[in-house]
Amino acid sequence: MQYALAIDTKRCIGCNTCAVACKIENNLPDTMWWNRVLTVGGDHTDTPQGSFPHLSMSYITLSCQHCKNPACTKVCPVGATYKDSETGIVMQDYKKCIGCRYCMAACPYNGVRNFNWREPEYTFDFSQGSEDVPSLVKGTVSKCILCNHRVKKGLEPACVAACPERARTFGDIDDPNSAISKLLASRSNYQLLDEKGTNPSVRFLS
Amino acid sequence: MKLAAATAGTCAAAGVCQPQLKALAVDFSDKAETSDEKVFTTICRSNCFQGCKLDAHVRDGIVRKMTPSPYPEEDYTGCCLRGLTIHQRTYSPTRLKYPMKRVGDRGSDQWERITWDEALDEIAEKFTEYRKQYGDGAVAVEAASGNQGTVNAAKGVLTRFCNALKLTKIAGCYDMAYGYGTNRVVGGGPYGNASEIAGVKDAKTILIWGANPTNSSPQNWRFIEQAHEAGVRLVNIDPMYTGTAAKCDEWIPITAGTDVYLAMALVNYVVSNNLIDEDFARTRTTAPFLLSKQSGKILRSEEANAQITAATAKAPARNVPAYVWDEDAETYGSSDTVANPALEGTYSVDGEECTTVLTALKEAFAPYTLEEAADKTGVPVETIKEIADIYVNQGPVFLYTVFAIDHYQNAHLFGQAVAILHALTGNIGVPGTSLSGFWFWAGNFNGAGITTVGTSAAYGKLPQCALAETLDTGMTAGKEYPIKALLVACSNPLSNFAEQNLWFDTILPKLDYLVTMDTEFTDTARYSDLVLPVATWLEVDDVRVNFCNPFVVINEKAIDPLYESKPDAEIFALIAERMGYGEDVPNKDAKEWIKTFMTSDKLAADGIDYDRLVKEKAIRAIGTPDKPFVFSEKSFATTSGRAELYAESITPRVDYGQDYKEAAAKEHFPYARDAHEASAANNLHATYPLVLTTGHYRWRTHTQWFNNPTLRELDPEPIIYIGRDDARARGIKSDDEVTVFNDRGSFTLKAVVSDAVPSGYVNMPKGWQRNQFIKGSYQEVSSTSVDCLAVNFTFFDALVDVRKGE
Ligand code: SF4
Ligand code: SF4
Repeated sequence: MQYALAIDTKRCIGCNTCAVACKIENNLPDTMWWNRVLTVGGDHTDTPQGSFPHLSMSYITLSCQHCKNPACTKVCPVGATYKDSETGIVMQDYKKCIGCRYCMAACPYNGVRNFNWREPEYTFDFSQGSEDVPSLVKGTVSKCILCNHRVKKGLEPACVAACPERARTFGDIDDPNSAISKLLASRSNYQLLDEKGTNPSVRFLS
Repeated sequence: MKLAAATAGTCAAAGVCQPQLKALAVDFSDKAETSDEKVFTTICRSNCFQGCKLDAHVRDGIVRKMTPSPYPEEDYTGCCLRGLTIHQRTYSPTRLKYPMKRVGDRGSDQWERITWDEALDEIAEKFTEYRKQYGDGAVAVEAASGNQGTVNAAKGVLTRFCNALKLTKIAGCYDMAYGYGTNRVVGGGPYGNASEIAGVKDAKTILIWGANPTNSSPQNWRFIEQAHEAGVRLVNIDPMYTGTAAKCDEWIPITAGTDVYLAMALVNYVVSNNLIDEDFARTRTTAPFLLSKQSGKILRSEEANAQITAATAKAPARNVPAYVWDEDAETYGSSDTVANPALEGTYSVDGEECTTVLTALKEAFAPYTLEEAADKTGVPVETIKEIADIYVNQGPVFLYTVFAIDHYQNAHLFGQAVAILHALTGNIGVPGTSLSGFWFWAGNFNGAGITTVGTSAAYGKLPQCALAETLDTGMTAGKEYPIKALLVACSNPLSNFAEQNLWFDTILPKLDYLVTMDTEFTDTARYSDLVLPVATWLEVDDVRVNFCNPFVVINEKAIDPLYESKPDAEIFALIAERMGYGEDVPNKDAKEWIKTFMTSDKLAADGIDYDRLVKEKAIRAIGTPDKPFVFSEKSFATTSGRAELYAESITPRVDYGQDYKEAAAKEHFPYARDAHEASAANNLHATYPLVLTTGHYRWRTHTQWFNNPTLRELDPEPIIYIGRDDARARGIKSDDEVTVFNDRGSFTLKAVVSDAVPSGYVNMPKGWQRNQFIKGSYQEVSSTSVDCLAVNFTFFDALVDVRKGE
């Protein structure tokens, strides 16, 4: 089994609802984002590439790619980041993590792994989102684990359930009959930095 | 970000291999996770013109998260990033917690906490004194779209309060010029010109003209993209390249503020080439009506004329027939009996020379050539012909326009012209058509049960745009009109009225007393004398009749009001009580008001009532899932019941004594004229060569969410987009500090160079407060100059220049 995400770049409008859903559901501290929206276009958010009026612009979202062949798990000296054999989710164990950040150096996808340099700081003095997300720990790495706490209960990741454009599809790409497998079979799609050989489970429908 | 290296796949053509959205149904269920967690149904009440039902998840008495709550029809389920952060507004670290009284100078931000009793006593005493000395209208209330609920909204107990005490209720000047123009043709008032968004599936072309729904209306966009995937063509007309332009099959750049020239030329092209939908024109428009050459009046029987004379605003004349030329009988006859009326020609009715309305229209539109339109708009002649072809051969056309064109001083003429275009090509009143992207419906709810107090009515007519002048002169329309106090609720006028410096130069100095009710220190609150803390959406019971969505939705109170905040309705009742109007504005439980609102004979006939709402939480109260509401399918809400190509009587949107007769005489048919300030022909262009547009971006709704901590991480500070050439000419690079200025004011913020912006423009996401800018505010440079008939703020009709640095 390999849980995966398919993101339809034709439907995605870059609205950031998925990013905010993720941040709140997982009670992420100030300034930390596990899922971000990037403009595919100019150098700044919401700017296109080309010159007026010959322009193009689209959006992708970037979070842990849950690679079939992850670069991060191989370099972790203590097994804190590992591929869950049952779900294929690349997990992160804060108890084991020693904060060496080898995984961050090894991961080719910028910013999907986050290091807690300090005690996590929160604007709000209560925990937001779900009760069953583990608290972040100073000196450890954290990242998207596909809302494992929800998936275990049969729910979809928060980003998928919140997307107003139905641009995100979650499911098992090892099962040829799953909705996501059928969708991927019917549409051209790509992986980010496929030349790195990590074989990401996150696919972008184009 | 350039993604070329990682983009492996190639794009499939639109509509190919696209599974339907339904096939990918998302499981929205996000049930309570533990027995301690309670889930309450609520509804976002921001004025983005969407209506998202949300679940508020409460643990230990704290709302921990918001999630999209399923509607009975899945297509309507969804929300945006703002909806997900509504609870953060409740727990905002900068929330207004207690009544606060100003102790320093206005705007100095020095406050003293006082008790509710002290605050209410002070307000009651001052308001009573002003009313006694200067008349009831000396106390004005400014209320806008800060809350689109009912009981606690501008249209709720607030209006009752104004009516009971006969206070001045300031008339809104936001976003009403376009609808004022379409109203001349199709009726429905300033907002009643649209069909249900689900109807886009029945269109052949969705023409997105001056709107950016991917950014500002993500729920509407879901329907548009769904239609797109099913093969509906998307065409976008916009001066700038937007997220919407990027998704459309075609994007047609246009010179901002010239849209009326395009609409006029399209009508001329269609009528002069005999491309109109003749059947539709004959039966559903006034094209065949006979128009006297001498009097400029439509000819009717005495009986019909009497019907019109007897009409009142409450009981308007409807479906009144007029004379048409009977081609078979070769004489005139009544439009309700003649089977074969002439569409064109000059005739004589009892010696009075007349033509059909269509013949007169042809003559009036004849000067508007494609060449002139191309010259004005920058849209090539061939492209204009393609747009005409859309109207003639690729309908139904769902026109998705919102309030961008509305923000220029010729907007109502555009509205009138484009409504005529739709009427003549049969693109109105049938499934798949609309005249706007924003659908507003009133339903059969008993709003009057909340707002009416006998025959007592609010005083006077004072539009927002005339507030400064009225305060300055103490007069309006030659009569004395002293305004001494202003009470602001559900509104942030200092940020949102045009020409902000009028507040500092005139309004604030002339105003004795300014009270603001809000949840945050907005610009307006900051300059007030007294600020009252209002309960947020999660802390009150309420109900919302949605926009752009056919449901009425309950809002369950999820937690008690925090700190000392109180619901708006309660505050009005408490003030009224102290002023001796306690019986007229009672302090009722919100649920009682909701019951009143949900009780009417017509609702009962549809099986809709309070109990059902409590149980079902959301009820579709218009249209059906299979047949979404179509605007004016049976008849138009006009005197004739038809689309009126000739506007017989022109009255201003708000008559506050302005001089409008000469202007009105010219507008029986629309005509094209340049924008007021933001026009290439304006000499001011030499000094201020850039048009400033201020857009609705995803990060805020008007000024709401302005200091939401999560959204500010994504969008931390004001930015302005400037085109590459204009930036280069001024030595500006991205991230430079720049100052935007004209004779009315200036502001300083960060620049972002964007190729989306053509030269001659700057564009910025709106909604920031003054203290978020490096200096000033974008609202300093806009103008309060309005068209005398449309009486509408024209935020984009402003020229500026930009320089590097402060
Ligand atoms: S919520 Fe959906 S549409 Fe919005 S940015 Fe995320 S994937 Fe794109
Ligand atoms: S701001 Fe608008 S789109 Fe966003 S949740 Fe509220 S109603 Fe929906």
